[in-house]
Amino acid sequence: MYLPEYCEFLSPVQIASGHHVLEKIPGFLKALNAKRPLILADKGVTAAGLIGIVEDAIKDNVQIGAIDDDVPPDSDLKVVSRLSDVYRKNNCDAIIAVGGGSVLDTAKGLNILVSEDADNLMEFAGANKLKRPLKPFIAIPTTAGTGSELTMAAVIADHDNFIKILFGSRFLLPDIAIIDSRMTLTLPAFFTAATAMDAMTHAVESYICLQKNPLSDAHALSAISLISKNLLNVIRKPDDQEGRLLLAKAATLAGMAFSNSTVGIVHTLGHSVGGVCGVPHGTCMSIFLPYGLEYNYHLVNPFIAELLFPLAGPEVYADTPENKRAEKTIEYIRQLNQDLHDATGGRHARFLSEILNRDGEQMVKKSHFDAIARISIGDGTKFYNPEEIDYDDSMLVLEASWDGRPLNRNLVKKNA
Amino acid sequence: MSRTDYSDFLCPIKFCCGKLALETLPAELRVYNARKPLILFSNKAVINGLIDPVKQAFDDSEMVAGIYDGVPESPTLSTIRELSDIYIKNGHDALIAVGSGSVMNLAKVLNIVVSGEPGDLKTCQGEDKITKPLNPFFVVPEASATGLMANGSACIDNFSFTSRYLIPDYLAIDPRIVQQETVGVIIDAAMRALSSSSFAYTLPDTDYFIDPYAYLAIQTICENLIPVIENADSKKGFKDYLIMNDTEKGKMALVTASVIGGFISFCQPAGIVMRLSEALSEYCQLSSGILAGLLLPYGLEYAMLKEGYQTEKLLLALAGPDVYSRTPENERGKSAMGILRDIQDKLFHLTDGYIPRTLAGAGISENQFSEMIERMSQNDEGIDSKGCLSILNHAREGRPVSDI
Repeated sequence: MYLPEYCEFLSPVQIASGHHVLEKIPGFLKALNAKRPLILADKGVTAAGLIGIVEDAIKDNVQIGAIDDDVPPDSDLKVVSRLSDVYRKNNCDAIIAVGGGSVLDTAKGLNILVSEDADNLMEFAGANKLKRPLKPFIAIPTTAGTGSELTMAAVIADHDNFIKILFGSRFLLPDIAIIDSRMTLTLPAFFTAATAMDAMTHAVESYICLQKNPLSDAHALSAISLISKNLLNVIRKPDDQEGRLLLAKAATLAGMAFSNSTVGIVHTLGHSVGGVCGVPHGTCMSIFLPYGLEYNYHLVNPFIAELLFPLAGPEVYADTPENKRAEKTIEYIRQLNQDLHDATGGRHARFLSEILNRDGEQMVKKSHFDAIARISIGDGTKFYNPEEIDYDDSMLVLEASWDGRPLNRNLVKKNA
Repeated sequence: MSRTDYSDFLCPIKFCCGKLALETLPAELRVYNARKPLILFSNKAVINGLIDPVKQAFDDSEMVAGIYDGVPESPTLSTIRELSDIYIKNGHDALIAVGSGSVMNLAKVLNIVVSGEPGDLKTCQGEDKITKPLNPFFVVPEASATGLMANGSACIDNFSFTSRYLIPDYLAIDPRIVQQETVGVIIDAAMRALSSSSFAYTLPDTDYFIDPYAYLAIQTICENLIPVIENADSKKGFKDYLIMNDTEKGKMALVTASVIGGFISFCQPAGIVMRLSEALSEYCQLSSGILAGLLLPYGLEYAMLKEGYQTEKLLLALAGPDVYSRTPENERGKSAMGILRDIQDKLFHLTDGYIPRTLAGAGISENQFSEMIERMSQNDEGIDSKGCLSILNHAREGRPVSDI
């Protein structure tokens, strides 16, 4: 067991999970002394019928203050400000956020404004500016991947000034996260694959990056095992409600792990490719994950080897010689991407050149690499990666991941 | 297998373990907007010289921490009154409890009083009667930590309270605080945690959110308990103080595991082993934690046969993925029980027989079993009398439970 000299672990969100947990929300609100929630979502969540499910589950026992599903994918200060007016005009006293990262971040920002009775969110930008608990806040994730419901951060854009503002405080965390299988039941196969691989990446990077600790490790191992056992089954049988629930639980466990131990190069490059080319985050994660392991191999191969057990199970683990387990782990993840590619009719991209937009056009071009690599060296996640990432390293990984070639580990500069 | 129905999990504690953990206290208090903590020390913590390192952690903080170093072994409501006067009069805004046992109990109850109205002790009695977060409450456990400080229960003068809001906000485990403790106390804490964690980890319906905590506690105890005990100062024997140095990390890990075990025991109803060991401790000189360790394999074997507990899964936490993977599937449960018995055997030898291997070795007669179970069933209608008797009889003779 890896025992660091010093470590911290905090995951204080109440997790209520099951197939019919939404119905318990009225009781949760009562326990939080709240009566009139504002329900936040985006148009996609409404279109998928999820707001209807939430509304039906609670409307007989709770007076819903308002429902606003106009949260855009890249929410900003103006949206948060508008929502604070909605909250106040409708005399709401709690927030229920239904959605993925953007909805949850918006809800966190909104909670600052309405709890602090403030108009200017910028007063609270940065770390630990909040000093007391905020209004009751229930998060209902709908993607089983981002883990936003477990993170103490929110990123909200200021489109007028072309910047993204980070807010960080434990008081931003929701009081309760509702993990209900109905919220992911209709998620399309390729999206299920990408978000689950996002969660897988949270768990794997949490296990190999610099801030790992015994508690984050234990959560990461559980998450990896659950994803590995259930993902392909769910892709092949989308109405497998139990499998959906286990994937959602795995994403939560992975969120608990990485929100404590942080992530590394897979996210460093993923953020940059997302920023430059608009590629969905989960797609970037699944493509870069094997490369992240290859890139850090010389520093953390014992940890990578340990991941073979939760990924592949006891038989494969026992059959693989100890000195081959790390490589087998990487091979296993590549094969998982291949299997997902096959099971989604090719929609799950295996490498960068395969990523297509809705019009069938390539989203990442080799000409983007320079910009991606330059942005990557300014990404905060690089500080927690075992190897020190520089421009050349980013280019090296981008070149290899263009067409799915394994990384030539001999070319990695040993900076750390 | 999985828990398909409803599951609810909450662990609000921030764990902070390792070197200079004490020095994080001021910064963490600031997160809660607290500036003037009242620090409570148990008498034992004072004797063990724990005041100085804790005080020194505030040296550069510009915080004025109040110190109360006279928490008695059995605090009463008058102790609460005295301390609440101090807290309010001096304008304190947070509590830090240093030590174990009574000081933790006291701090939890005191926090109810100082966070609300004087009459709150009466209205908050019982289960889940506290309706809002209390003032910041931090704990700094000693090596003797049984983990009870990490749960949401407290009791004083026949007033008992159970609430999520009694669980501490912050837990700092620092090597300077877990330096000294007797072997018997460390084994008691570890075996108590091993017992609650093993039952939680092998539940027929896996609780995926408790699993990582239980897995870590079991793994930690299995890897560290015997080495820590082996490195005790053998010249002084098991009743004397351990020496730090080489075993520092191991002891830190054991305290963390004990605290996690305490938290798990709050999440899960007490299993048959803990209930039996509590009852048995009244019939012998051994603590309930040590008895729980002795009864554990028998209780698990019974739970596996009767209720389908996943004892095979325990092998992974106890022995790691290599042993687990090499062991045939149908032998994993048996191997796990073998490891638990092996730990018991090693403890027997390392403590010159102080830790018994069987109930007969503990000097408990089988004539006492029926009376004890009868008394248990008077207080607990749900007790499985036949099961209890079977576990006790097998544990008395050191014979695995192979059928029911």
